[in-house]
Amino acid sequence: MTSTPDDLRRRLSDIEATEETYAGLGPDDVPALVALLGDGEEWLAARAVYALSRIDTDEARRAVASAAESDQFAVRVAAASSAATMPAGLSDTMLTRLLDDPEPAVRKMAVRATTERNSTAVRERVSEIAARDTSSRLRNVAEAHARTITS
Amino acid sequence: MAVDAALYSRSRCYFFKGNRYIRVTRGDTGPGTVDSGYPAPISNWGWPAGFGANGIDAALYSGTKCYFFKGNRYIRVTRGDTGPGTVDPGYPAPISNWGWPAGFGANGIDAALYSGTKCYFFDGDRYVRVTRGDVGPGTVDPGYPAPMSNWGWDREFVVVHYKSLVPVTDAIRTFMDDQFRAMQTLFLGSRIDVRRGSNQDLSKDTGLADFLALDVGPCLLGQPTQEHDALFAHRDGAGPDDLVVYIVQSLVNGTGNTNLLGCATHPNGQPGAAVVRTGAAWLLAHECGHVLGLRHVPRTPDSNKDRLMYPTVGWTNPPPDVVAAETTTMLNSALSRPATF
Repeated sequence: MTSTPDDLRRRLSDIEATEETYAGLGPDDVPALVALLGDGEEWLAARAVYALSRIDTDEARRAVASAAESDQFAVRVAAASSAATMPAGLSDTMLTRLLDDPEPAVRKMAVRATTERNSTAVRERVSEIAARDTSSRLRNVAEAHARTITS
Repeated sequence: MAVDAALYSRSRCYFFKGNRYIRVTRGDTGPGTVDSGYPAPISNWGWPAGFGANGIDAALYSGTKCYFFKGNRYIRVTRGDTGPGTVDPGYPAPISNWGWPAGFGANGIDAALYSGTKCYFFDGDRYVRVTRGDVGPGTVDPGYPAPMSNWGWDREFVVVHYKSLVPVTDAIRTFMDDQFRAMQTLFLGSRIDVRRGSNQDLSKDTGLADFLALDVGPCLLGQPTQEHDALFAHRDGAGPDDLVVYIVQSLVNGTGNTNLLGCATHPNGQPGAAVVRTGAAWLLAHECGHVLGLRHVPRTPDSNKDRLMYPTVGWTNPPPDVVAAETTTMLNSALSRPATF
């Protein structure tokens, strides 16, 4: 049955969301989840991204990819976290943008979402962050992560 | 600055200390104004046989009568709002005339309180409630003497500091204030006085910028992440038992690909929680409840949605409930400290 945004707002209201929070969501819920991407509660808009990343349809994946371009910080963080669950090509597109995000926290999440299956260009960007990012802690995060994705 | 006794007298109030007293003109609330010519000697009252010459223990308004207590004696006075009135014949009289049970007040009382059809008398850590009219001892209500702890004055307190990684705009300030007020009001019912500590804006600290999205992992009790360890070390202005609440833009479980609204996991010895901004009024109370030892209640039955520790922000019948066992848990926390009266 198709959910409304209000249905999902209740269903996704866990303070500490776990896998159980997203159980049972499916393709019918995608339109309402996409509507939540513009919710005034930023944490809920971000949670909609996490929910969409668990639904295996093109529409859901497109919505997750669009989240990488959001004006909302938490939504971009969710997109960065979810990039690792996307098909390789889409993940590359998202991470290429998010690894250059102006916010160090978004770059941090994008670094951690980069895997061996991402393109050489994306993985090299992680190495660049390790070498030159303005945030010293992010340089350390990227340096440690780069070692795990460089074969 | 203590007083020995206070007497309500309609348009006036009297406060007694040693062998002096003051008269105050006041309304129902507020300090009012001390009348001209006060403090004055207690001897102005003209009590007989040296009664109260060096002070009294308690005073009781009782309509057309007033009672004054000293040691194991008392007097009854007929008077209006002002002036000493007239001591009724037969006084001073022994306090035993009141017929209080179980030795209560045998050597005197600490205080007395008029409360309409009831009067309360206080002696040490016990009190009695009495049903009576303007005159006479009345009848001690069943169940008395009772312990003073029944009044709930023995509170504990916790101190909560805010440290925001999000720039402290008017919206964030409103969020902080609203969350704090909601928690303060709710926890008063649990006899916990929540005190506001410092507020610190950490948003200009570029070294902390990547914590704006704080990775708290699965947020498990006693299992802080490296990011918890690094951020929660920032406790400037907070005492070791104070709670520090960090406001971040996003709380992430990096391994679980999900987000959280709050997480009370904290490094050992650095009590606190992290929250994101939300319209959910009792998020701070929920997270501080965790820090003080509370756990989530089960999702069923549905009535659990009325409870503060329900695991979602979908509370029903607000404000949420804190049950007696949860109050005990929080009062037993080493982080809640006595604020004795």
